[in-house]
Amino acid sequence: MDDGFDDFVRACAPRLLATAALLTRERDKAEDLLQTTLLKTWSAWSRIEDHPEAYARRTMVNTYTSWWRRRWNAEVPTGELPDRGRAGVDTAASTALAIDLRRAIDRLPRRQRAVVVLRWFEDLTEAQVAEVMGCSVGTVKSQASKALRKLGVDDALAHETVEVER
Amino acid sequence: MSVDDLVQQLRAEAAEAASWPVPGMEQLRRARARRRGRRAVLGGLATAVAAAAVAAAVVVPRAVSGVAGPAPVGPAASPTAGPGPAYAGTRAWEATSCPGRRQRSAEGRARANPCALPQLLTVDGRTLWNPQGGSVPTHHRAVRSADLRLSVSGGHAPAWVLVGASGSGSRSDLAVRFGKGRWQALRPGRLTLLRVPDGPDRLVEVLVRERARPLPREVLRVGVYRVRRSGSSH
Repeated sequence: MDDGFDDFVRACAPRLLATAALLTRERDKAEDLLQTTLLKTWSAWSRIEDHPEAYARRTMVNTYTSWWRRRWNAEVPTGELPDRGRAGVDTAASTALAIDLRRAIDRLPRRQRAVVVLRWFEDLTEAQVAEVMGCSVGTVKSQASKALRKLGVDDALAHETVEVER
Repeated sequence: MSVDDLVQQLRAEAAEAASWPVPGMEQLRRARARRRGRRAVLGGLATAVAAAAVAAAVVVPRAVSGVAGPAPVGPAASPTAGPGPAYAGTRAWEATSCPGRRQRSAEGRARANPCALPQLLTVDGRTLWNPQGGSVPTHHRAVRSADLRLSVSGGHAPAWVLVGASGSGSRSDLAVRFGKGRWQALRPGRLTLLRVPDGPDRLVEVLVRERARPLPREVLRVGVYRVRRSGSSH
């Protein structure tokens, strides 16, 4: 039925859900975003000639950065995370680092977060990220640079990351 | 902290989502059916609202003005015919004589509009003439004004006022008030003719107000009109 759309859902939905989770940072919203993305992709299924996953990813990011914000902007993510002090002195430094990083990602503006997820989780090139987000490569570079700075990634390393793509 | 730390963190968070259930086709089918149902309801509502708006646009102006006829030439660009509040007065007047050349050139809009405030106009078979009038730009140097007041002398002869604004935009929200009466909305696009209410006061103050943000070239206008008697000079 629907020329393989159900196969596409079975194959790609778990990875798309992971992307949705990284974007929205909450399970309910991630599931909702995935469902909306799949419904939109299904509506356009007859027009999608190739790379349906890329189409779905682009739909997801656009939905997240535009309509998604309007729909959910009244909600404030609580992001209650384990307190660093309570973790105790035995907690490994890597755990503290992960908590810091998670909090920092939570605080990123949605477009910067989308760039981070697409660039370093989906492992897309800057040009591909620009295509998905419908913006210029320069915008992707600047958003990525700002995001890395906010995440506390070394400035030098951030510049190096940007320079690699030139 | 390095980019590798970031990548590891993203992968760790993504791994948490791996155990979450993904929607199956049956769930998607139900969601799509709900979505289409909502769209059908919204579409029906939109159609009903549009039909009501068209009916209001046809019926309300006739009911309010009680005057039918061809649209006369007016001071502003084009009348809007959209739905909205019940507007006061009538716009079914026709300019039959414009002010002198000097005044017309001062208006600055003479080419598009024969005259901003006609010297003579006809409405409902009667000819009215304009003994008195005024206008005020909403922006003049540093001064901003959204009000125009004019006192109309009472008396035995009935009086009308032609009120509105030229150069107003589509978001214009004009209103008029006589004395301490209620505000009456004016349809933007061309001047509206209203009968000055009879009352015990010798002077009736007409107040025109742009309740929206005035445009830089917007000019509020009020003209007083009375029935032209034979032998009246103008």
